[in-house]
Order: sequence, then structure tokens, then C-alpha cells
Amino acid sequence: MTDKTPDIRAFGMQEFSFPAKGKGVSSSSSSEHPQTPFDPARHAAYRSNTFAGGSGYSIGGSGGRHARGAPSDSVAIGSAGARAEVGGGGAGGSRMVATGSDRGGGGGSGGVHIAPAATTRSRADSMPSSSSTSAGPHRPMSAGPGAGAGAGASNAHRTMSGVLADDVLRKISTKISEGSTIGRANSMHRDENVYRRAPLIPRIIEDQEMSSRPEETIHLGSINLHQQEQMLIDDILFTLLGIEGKYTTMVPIPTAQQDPDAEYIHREFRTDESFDPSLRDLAARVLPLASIYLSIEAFIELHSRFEYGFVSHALCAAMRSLLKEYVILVAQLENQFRTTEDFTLQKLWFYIQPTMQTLTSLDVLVGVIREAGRREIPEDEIEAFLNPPEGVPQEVKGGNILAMIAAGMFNMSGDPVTKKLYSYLLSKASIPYISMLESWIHRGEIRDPYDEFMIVESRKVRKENIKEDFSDAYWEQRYTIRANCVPSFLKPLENKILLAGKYLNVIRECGIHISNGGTPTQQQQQQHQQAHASASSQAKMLSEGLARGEVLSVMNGGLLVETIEAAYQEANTRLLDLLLKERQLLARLRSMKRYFFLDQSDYFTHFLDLAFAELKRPSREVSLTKLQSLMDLVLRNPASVTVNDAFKEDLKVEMSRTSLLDQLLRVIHVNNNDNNNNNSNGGNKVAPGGDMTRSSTFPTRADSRMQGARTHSRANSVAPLSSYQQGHGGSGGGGGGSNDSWNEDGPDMPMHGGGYGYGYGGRDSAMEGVIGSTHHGAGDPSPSSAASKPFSITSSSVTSSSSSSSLSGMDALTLDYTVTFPLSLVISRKALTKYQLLFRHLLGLKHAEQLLCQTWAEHTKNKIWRHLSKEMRGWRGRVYALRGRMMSFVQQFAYYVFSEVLEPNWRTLVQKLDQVSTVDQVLKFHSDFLDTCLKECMLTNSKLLRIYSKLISTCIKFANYTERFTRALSAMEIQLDDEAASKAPPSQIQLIEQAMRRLNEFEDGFLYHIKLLMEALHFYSATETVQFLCLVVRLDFNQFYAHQKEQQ
Amino acid sequence: MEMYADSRSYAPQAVCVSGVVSATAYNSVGQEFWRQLCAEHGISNDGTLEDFATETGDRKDVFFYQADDEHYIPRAILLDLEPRVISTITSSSYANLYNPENIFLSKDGGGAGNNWSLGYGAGEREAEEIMEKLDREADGSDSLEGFMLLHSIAGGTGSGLGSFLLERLNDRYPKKLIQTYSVFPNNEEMSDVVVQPYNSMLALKRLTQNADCVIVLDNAALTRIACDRLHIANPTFAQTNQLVSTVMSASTTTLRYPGYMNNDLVGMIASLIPTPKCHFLQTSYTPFSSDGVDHTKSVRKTTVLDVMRRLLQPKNRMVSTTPSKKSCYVSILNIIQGEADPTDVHKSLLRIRERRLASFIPWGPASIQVALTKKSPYIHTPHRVSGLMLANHTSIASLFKRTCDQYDRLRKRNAFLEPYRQGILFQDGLEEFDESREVVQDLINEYQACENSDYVSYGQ
Repeated sequence: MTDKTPDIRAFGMQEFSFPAKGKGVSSSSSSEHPQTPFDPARHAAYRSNTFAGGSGYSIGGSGGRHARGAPSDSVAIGSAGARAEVGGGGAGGSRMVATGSDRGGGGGSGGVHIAPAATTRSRADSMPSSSSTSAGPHRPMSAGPGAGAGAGASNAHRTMSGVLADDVLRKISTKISEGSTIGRANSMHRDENVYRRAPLIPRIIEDQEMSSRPEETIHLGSINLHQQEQMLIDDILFTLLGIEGKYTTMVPIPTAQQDPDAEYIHREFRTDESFDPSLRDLAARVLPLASIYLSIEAFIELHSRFEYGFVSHALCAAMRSLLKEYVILVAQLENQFRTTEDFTLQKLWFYIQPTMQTLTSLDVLVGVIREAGRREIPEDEIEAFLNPPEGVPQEVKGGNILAMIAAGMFNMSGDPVTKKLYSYLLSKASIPYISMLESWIHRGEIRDPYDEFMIVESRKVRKENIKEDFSDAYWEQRYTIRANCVPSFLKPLENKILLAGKYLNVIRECGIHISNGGTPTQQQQQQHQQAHASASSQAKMLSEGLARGEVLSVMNGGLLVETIEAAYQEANTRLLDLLLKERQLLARLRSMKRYFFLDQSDYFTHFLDLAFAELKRPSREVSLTKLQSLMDLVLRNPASVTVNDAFKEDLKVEMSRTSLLDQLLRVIHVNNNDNNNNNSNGGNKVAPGGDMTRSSTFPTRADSRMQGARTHSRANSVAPLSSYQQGHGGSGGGGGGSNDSWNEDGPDMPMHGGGYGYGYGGRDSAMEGVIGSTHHGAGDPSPSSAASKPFSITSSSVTSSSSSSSLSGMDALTLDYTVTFPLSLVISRKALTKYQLLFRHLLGLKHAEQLLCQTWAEHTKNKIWRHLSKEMRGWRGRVYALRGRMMSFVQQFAYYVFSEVLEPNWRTLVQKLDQVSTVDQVLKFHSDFLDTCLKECMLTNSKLLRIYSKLISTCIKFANYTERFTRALSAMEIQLDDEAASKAPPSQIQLIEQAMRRLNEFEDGFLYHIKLLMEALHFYSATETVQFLCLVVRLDFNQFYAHQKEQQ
Repeated sequence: MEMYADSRSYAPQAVCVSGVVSATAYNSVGQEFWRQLCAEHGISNDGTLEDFATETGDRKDVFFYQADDEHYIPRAILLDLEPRVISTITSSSYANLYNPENIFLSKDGGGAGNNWSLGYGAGEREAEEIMEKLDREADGSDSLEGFMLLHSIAGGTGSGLGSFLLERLNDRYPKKLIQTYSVFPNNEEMSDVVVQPYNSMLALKRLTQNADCVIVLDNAALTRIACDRLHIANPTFAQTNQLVSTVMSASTTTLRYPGYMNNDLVGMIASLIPTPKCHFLQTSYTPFSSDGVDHTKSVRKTTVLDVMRRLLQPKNRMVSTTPSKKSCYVSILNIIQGEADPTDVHKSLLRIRERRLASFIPWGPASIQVALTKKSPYIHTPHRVSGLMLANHTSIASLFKRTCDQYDRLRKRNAFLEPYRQGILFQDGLEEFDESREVVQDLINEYQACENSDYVSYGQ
């Protein structure tokens, strides 16, 4: 027998061959029921104990301890008592049975099955088996019901070991018979705890009892060494199962220890000091195994609870099967011990070697997981009270467990046994995880009741909200990677995993059935068989090398990486196909380009002509219905190029509440704010504006104003916001903070509220800011007009156009576009808003151009302008020249925007979309496209923007003033004639004077600002985009302004 | 003489008027123009849409309207005082293209005999019928933006009847734009029409006062281009006509193929003509392809820079002017057709500025506007990119100056004045001549002043 024992593998599992010569009954019985007998029944025992009550237990325990050497017949009484307890309807007893059968199919039967085995093997002096199976008539005389329960518990427990049964029975009976009822009041108290926490109590001995127990009657030193050894082995065999023996006892732990878990973790055992030192020394080497066993048991108990999740359950099951092997080993050892004469402690030590190693490794892992799960206890007591830790820490669930095992596997890769152990655990523990993963990557479903999967779904983010949602929330937030929950070996793949499922969900949301996800796997498996080598090398390349590849190969038979890859590709291709082919993304974008970027603007010129009168009215009085019908008319004009656009129905006319300038300035401000907040040293940061003034180019009051506003905003990030909207005052902190403050400002905002708490990048939150302001209710236009004031450059003349109360239809006009679901991922509300911003920018240009053209027509066609007295020609020349400058500015700007910003960027986008391989690339390219356009149109720089809008508004004002210039001109003509002049009303002179003055103002203002703009463009071309230089070239192609400056 | 209703991009309008002068058939230029437009829009010569014309993105309604039977009908009025050219058209394969109601032939059919005053007088006589046709065509346009007149100013019909039309149109449609394509006589060599300086002078007055934009072409330059650039030894009128029609069609591409900008006539003209008086534009076109002009050697590779550079070369200009040192551009609009990369445009602009290939007015900002437009998908050319330049250049004054010189020489001798005296405008004397001379002199002075930096306050 000794020659075979090394075969004992604690985790070997399937066949446990212990060739007991002729004594195979016990081993065969246990190998026939490899799973069932031990485990469930013991649980039953624990439970019965806990339910039986503390006193019962302690009596049993202590009774047992004191019962050695008692007459054997009392055993019968004891065990009968236990059964009597059961029969008598005692809670503990019935519970025991119930739990026993609850646990796994074989639990109950196993227990039943073993019990007879044990009894048949019982010695003549012990009670026959019938006493344990039937509620015998004998009631224990000395022990109370509690003691009976305790005995029953230990009885059941021992029974499981099969071989040991007889001995156990004997022991117990003696213990019980001798035991006195030591009911302890405090043990009641303690058992409440037991009830709640862990069922290991029976093995724990009350310190007080230990210390108070009577002195041994036999002095061990007087016994010969062999006997000592026998006694010790006997004791150790119990101890190895976690039960204190007579001579091997637990080292008491300090009472100060709070953590209930600590009671079972690494409790040390010590041997009675009166043993021979050689034996004690050997025992001391064996005993740590008992501690480890206890510790692992405790871990399994705790982590098998439902809230720890599937992965924990799987891991615990794997561990439990290992422990079962271990228990079987102990049982076999005992068998050896009982049946072989020369079984020594040395032999025992020899036999447990491999197991020792295995369990130690296991214990290391347990320790790691335990450590990870330890919660930081907040130092602040109030904090601790207010936020008590709830649930199971994420660290000891799901992917993290796998990660820890994998890490162990990696760290221990030098030790083949441990590595094998870990990979066994990993392969078992990862089964539920893998199945979750597969259901996600193949079907896009999350089956994760215990929150252990790496992807989390946010139910409140719905696709229906996309239209109103400005934050890309659906795409960004519907499914997210759970922080800290990705097993490290899946880290490189996490995005692919996330996207694979996300894509599938999008497809499913479109109502398209996702066909069986198994197909790719099957294909994959075939491929796998063909090219295993290449696959594993692929896995290796994926990560830092061997280690991760091995980890992955343990899971899911090494198919994981390919499965994920394949699923990702599959999902990707399908969604791309859906977007690009079925839903014609490119055609959509093209159509949006036509409408928003006026790429074939004939429709829009026509629309502006038709709607001219309507758009001149204040935006509140404009009839949207009328505009919409005009737009429809234009779009359906059979001669127009838009008539063939399939998506023209989706275009809607809208009125914005804020002027473009305000809206953009808000974006920029939110951006700045975020930047400032992000840079904690915002005060030190030299803003470009600051540089600019210092570099001498901007001598003006306007500049100092702007600079003022800027520094102000840096000094106190709250200030600019509050200057915009009174409700914004409180936004102290970061992107999230300012988001929230934006949300407050409109009555209709709460609907978006949900998605906003998340921290976006600066740009994002800025966009939301804008959007918030575009959509916020009719409630208060006044704040925004107030808001524009700090930024108006020359406050006297600017304000009216930028204040929303006097916003004209033209200023407020914007377009909207209906985008349906899957496409709205790409053309989200945020993207659409950017389109709108660009559109309004272009509209401003077009409008100015149109007005200037009208002015030109007036100058050209009107007889007053055409046939003028010589005296007036100089003045007329000035008006012409100014109009020419403005025209040139507006048109060159428009040429710049169209042919150097929109068109090239569009071409780049189309080119990129041609080669796109993932959906996220599509999203990224598209939003990059829009961002670049915004930036190159100078819409992202508040300074440029203000100068620009000043210029445009000067142009528009000048054009609107044309009629008065005409009147002034004719008045001048009259003044030339002395006779007529004397008759002319004084208002005429006033008119002339005013016209003269206004012309001067226009000339000065325009010249000043265009020079300012060009300097600013020069400056910002260094920091923002080189593209600005192209604009400078265009605006001053013949160096007119440059020369003028030189002359000055 | 021919007249087209030119429509605003989105809805039709523009009437084109072309005058016919003696041997040079300007209705045949017009005919060439319409043939080109039909080809570009995929319209067959009887006005129906060709089967292959499935591409979208063009606006046929600018120059055509659809009859009840889906036929595309040009918004054109053909006017002539003698039947020869028009009968050629009506017997050609394009006979069914035009609306027969829009063809006007003087009842006496005698032509204008190279006499401005006869042409003008014929206009006066037949005013009612002519205006009726114009009105009908204008009313048929949803949003008429202006008229285009194609005529020559050397002979009698183009200059006389053309002048009459300019005056009338201005009266009747004071808000509508009037753009003319005026072919100036070849005044480098003595023409067979001796009175051509008179005709030109009288027509120039109307062009100065009643037109909003005059695109000046001259026979001398057209012949030169045909010889030098296209290597045709003795260019026929048909070939030079093709040059003209190419320019005409190219200058209207932004209207017919809407892009980001220049979708209406006014937007295009307004920036070209900052001061209303200086509204005489020169053109260059490159490259003329073998398709555009028959039997010519095709031109080498084309890039945007290449095209823009060549457009600035005087030898490609379709007007013979003699620029002085001070001559400069008031404005330039380049219409680039074809597959142009927008980023090339900026490079080309920079290069042109660096090399000082064009000098601009000193009194205000001026630059080269570049409009990128599509090319007709139905016409295949060997080159990728072609370009048309519309430029307002002060050297145009030299052309007027030459006309004035020739006029002055004749006038000094009072030669050949007798036939004019019969005209209604000259019954009280020849003041009309002097007045016209003065107007043209003013124009020349204006252009000269335009070269100075103090032009803004010119005239005080």
C-alpha cells in the first residue's frame, strides 16, 4: 500500500485508486460516490449544529472531548439520542436531513448510503446501524437534547468518511457519554453569529473551555513512543479534517480580532507539549495542512453564496472537488492507520506531501482573492456609517477572479504542478464567464445576474432618445466596459468584445434577426483543427507573449481569441454593411452635405428668394409652416437638382432660439471652462489671447475687453457661466459640473438629465451646452442677450443682431434633418448640431452675399446712382469701394469655406469611408470631419469668431443702409441746386449728415476689423490650423490691406 | 440677331439676343451656342432628352423650358433683318429645337446694310413685335434674372438693333440684369465695312449706359487664337464661332451646374464689376479641345495651376488689347470645369501671387475667385480640367481707344455719314455721334483712373 500512495492526487479527480488490499470496502464505497457523500452530508452536519443551538453544540463538542475511554455502549445511546432528536422534530435534526438532501442529487442518498456502510463496519461493541437510521427508543440519559444534536452532527459528519465511521462512532459515543452538560450562556450569543456567518463553528473550540478543561489524567511522557505516535496520528487525522483533537488543538486567537473570517483563516494548531519532541516536530510539519484546509473551506463557504456570482461558484465547485480528494486521502490514511501495524507519522508525512503542495498553492490563491476582496474601511466614521459597504466587492467577482487565477498561473509557471492546478481552476472557473462572453459576442445578449461580466448595459439609455439626445449616449453609454472588471488577459481584447456585442445589439435594435451565433464558432473550430499552431501563435502575438497565450489557451480550449476575433469581424461586417449598404450612409451624408453645406446651393438660393419677406420678420413671428412649405416647394421643383434626392423629405426648417454667435461662444466657453478646470494650474496658463496682446498686435479697447473676459474666466471659472445664464452659477467642477449647470437652464431639459452625469470630454460637454441653449424653452431669451454683452466688441453697434429677442428670421433660420435609428449612431444629435452650426455659418455668409448683391444691383441699376453730378461722384466712389471690399471679403470667405474647408475635408472623409473597416472608425472619421470643418471655419475660436461676426454684421448693416444712402444721394443732388436746396426740408440735411457719418463709421469699422481679423488669423494659424493662412491669402490677395498698413 | 432668356439658376430667365452682321452670322454663333448647351445637357437636336442623359446635377431650366410634350425649348429669340442665316438654321437639323414664334425676321428682309441707323430704325419700326416676343419669353420664366444678348457691333443689325434692344430692355425691365456678348470688329486691319467705327461707337454708348455686363470678344483675337493656339491656317467663321460658343457655355456653367457658389448671375457679376461703369469683361479659355473646335491639335496635360497660369497669358485672351505698364486687373473669376482638386487651387493662387503673374488695382482688395464646377458628363474631352477666365482688366480701354481713333479719323473727314442721316436719331444733326464719343471717352478715362490708387474719389 505504501508503494501506491504517492499516486494520491489531491486534484486528480476522476479515479481515485487507493489499492487497499482486501480492505477496499471503504475505498470502493467512496470511489463509487466520488462527489456526493462527503460534501453535502457534512454540510448537513454543520447546519444541524447551527440550528441545534450553541449549547447543544458545545455540549457535544466538549462532551466528545471528555468522553474518551468511556464505555462503548453509551455510543449507542448517544447516536440514538441524535436520531431521537431528529425524530422528535427538533429543528436541528430535521434541518440536517433537509439540507442533506437539498445538496446535490446524491447528497441525501449519499449520506444514507454511507451510514450503513459505516455501521456494518462498526465493531461489536458499538451500536448497530439501526440505531442511527431509526429513531430508536433509547434516549440519552446523560446528554441533553443539545448534546444529542451535537453528536448527531458529528456523527453524520464522520460517517461521510466511510472508513472512519466505526471509529468515529466510537469516539463520539464515548465523548457524549462522558460529557457533561456545560451549557454556556454566552455561546448562545455567539451562535447567532454562527447562524449568520459560517458553519464551521463545530470545529472551533472555545478557548475558555480549553483552558478550563480538566488536566489529563495520563501523563504522555510515561507512555512509550509508539503509543504516543499512535495517539498523535489518531489525533492528527481528525485535525486534518479541521476538527481539534485531544492533543492537537487550535492556538487561540486574540479576542480583539474582529473579522469573523479570521476565525478560520490560518488558524494554527499545536500539539500537546508532553509528546516526545521528535513527534511534535513532525506533527508541527503536518499540521499546517489542517490550517490550510480550514482556511479553504471557509473561503468556499463564503464564496459559494449566490451573490458572489457564477464564476465564484464555478471556482468553489472546482475547489470543493479538490478538497473532496483531500478528504478521501485523509480517509484512506486513516484506513491505513487502522489496518496497518507499521503506519507511522513519518509515513503520514510522506503520503501527504503532494497534497500539501497542492493545497498550499490553493491557499495562496485563496489568500490572494481574499485580500482583493478586503474592503478599505473608511477612516472617517461618519463616512463609514453613511456609506456602508454593500454587496460583494467587484474585485472578487467574475473577471477579476479569472484574472487572479491567471496571474497566479503566470507567476507560478516555473512550477508545473501548481501551474497545472491553476490552469485546472481557471478552466473550470472560466466556463460560466466564457458562456457569458459567447452569448454576448455572438448574440449581443448579456446574461449576468450577478454583475460579474465585463460589459454592463444601461437600460435607461434607449435608442428612442437618440433623436433628442445630444451626447451620443446610446452609443457611448448603452453598453460600457465595467471598470476594473476586465480580466487582465482579456484587456487587449476588451474593445473588440465590447464592440462585437454592441454592433450586434444595434443590428438587433433595427429589427434584424441575428442568426445563430454558433456558426462562426463551428467554422472556427474547423479552422482551429486545421491550424492550431497558427492560432496559438496569433494568440501569442496578441499579448506580451507566452503567458497570456497560455492563459487563453486554458480557457475555452484555446479558441477564445479566434472566437472573439471572428465574432468581432462578423458583427463589424454586418453592421458596416447595414450602415453603408442597406442604409446608404454615404448617400445620406451626401444629401446632408447638399442641404447643410449648400454643396449645390441652387435650391437654397431659390428658397431664400421665396422666403425673403418671411425671414425678414422677427424670428418669433415667422411662420414655420410657411417656411416649411416653401422649402418643400423648392425641393420638389422638378428643375432643381434636389428633386432626385431620395432623402429630401427628411429636411425640416427650424428656428433657433439663439444667434449663431451666442451659441458658438457658449460652446467655446464651456470648452474653455473645461480646459481651465482640467488644468488645475489654469491661472498660470498663458492664454493665446494674452500672448496676442503682449505681442503688440492688438492695441484696442475691444481686445482689452476680451482679454478681460478671458482672464476673468480663468480666475474664476464660475464667472463666465454665470454671466451667461443666471442658473449657471454653481458650476464649480469640471466637465460634469458644467454639464449639469447647462441642464438646469431650460424647462425641457430634464428629459436629457439622465445621461449627463457622466464626464465627457470638453468638446462633448460643450456641445451639450450649446444644445441645451438651442433647445431650451421659450422661457427666457433675456439671459442670452445679456450674455452676449460681455463679448460685444464695440458695444454700441453690435448688440442687436446677437440678442435673441430681436433675432430676425434669417438669423434664426436653421435646418433639421430626420435621421432614423442605426444611422443616428453616426449622425447623432451632436453631429447634427455641428452640421447646423456650419449651416448657420454658411447661411450668414450667403445672406450677407445676397444683401450685398442687392446693394450692387441698386448701385448699378438705380438711376440716382448711375447718373450723378460730378460733385457727388467722390462720395459715391467711396460707397462703391466699400461695397466692393465687403463683397470681396464675403465672397472670398465663402470660397475659402467651400473650396478649402468643406470640399477637401469631405473628399478626405469619402476616401476614408471607402476603406473603413470598423463601425467605430466610421463614427470617428465622421466626427473628425465635422470637428475639422468647425475649426477651419473659425467657429471654435471665440476671438476670431467675434471679429468675424462683427465684420459680417457690418456688411449686413451696410447693405441694409443702402436705401438710406440712395435717399441721401438724391437729397444731396437737390442740395447742389441752390434754389431747390433752399426749399428742401431740414430733415434732408439731417439725412445727408447721418449718411455721411454712417459711411465713415462703416468704413472705419470694416477696415479696422478686417485688419484685426487678418492679424488674428496670422496669429492663430500657428496654434489652431495652418488653413487660416489660406484665408489670409484669399482675403488680401493683392496685398491691399498690407500696403495700407505699411503706409500708415 | 438672337436673344436668350437667361434664367436664374433655380428658375429660368435670360433672353439672348444675337445680332447678325453681314457675312458674319451671329445667329450662327447663337446656333453654335445652343448646340453646345444641348450637347452638354444631353438634349437631342429636336429638344427631347437623349436616352443616355440620366445624370442629374444639372439645371436645364436655366436656358430651356419644357413644352407640354416634354420637349426642351431654348429660351431664345432669334432676330435678324435678313433671312439668310435664319433660313440656314430653320433648314438645319436643329430646326425643331426653337420655338418658331421666337424667330423674328424683318418684313422687308433687306437687312441693315451695315448701317447702325438702319438697324436701330428697324427696331423702332418693329418694336411692338419684338417686345411682344420678349415679354412672352420673360413671362414664361419663373424668376427672370436677366437677359443675355449676343451680337456684333461692327455691322448694322447687331449694333443698331442691339442698341435699340438694350435701351428698350432697360426701360421695360429696369431691375433685370443685361449681359451681352459683344463681338468687336477686327480693327487691326481695315474691314470691308468702312463705317464700322461709326457703328461701334454708337453701339458702345448703349453698351456703356444700358448694359450691366459686356463680355468683349473681338474677331482679331479670335482669329489669332484660331491660328496660333489651334494651328489652323485660315480659320473659318464656323471655327471662330465655336470659340465664342465655348466661351458662352463655359461662362454659364456655374448657373447650369450648381455648386457652392455663383448660382446666380448677379453673384457672379457683382464681384467682377465693383464700379458699375467698368463693366467690360475680357475672357480667356483653355484648352480648346478637338471636340470644342474641330480639326485641331489637342492640348497637353492640364492641372489647375497649369490652367490658371495659361488663363492669365495674354495670348489666350479673346480680346486684342495693348496693356500699358499700369494696366491691372480689377477682378478675376476663374471657372474651372472638370475634376479639379480643391487643394490645388490654393497652391495655384500662391504661385500666381509669388510670380506676380497678375497685377491688381491699388485701390481695393482684389483677387482671383475660383469657382469649381462640374463638367458635362456627356461630353468627353481629352483633358481633365478646362478653365474660363472672366476678367475685368483696365487694358480694355485700349480697345475703345482704338475704336475712338478710327472713329475720329473718319469723323474728321465726315466720311460716309450720309446714310446715317436718314435715321430718326440723326434727323436733327449728328449730336448723337458726339455724345457717343463723349460717353466712350468717359469710359476710357474711368478705366485709366481705375489704375490709380486714388480712384475711390475719382470724379470730384
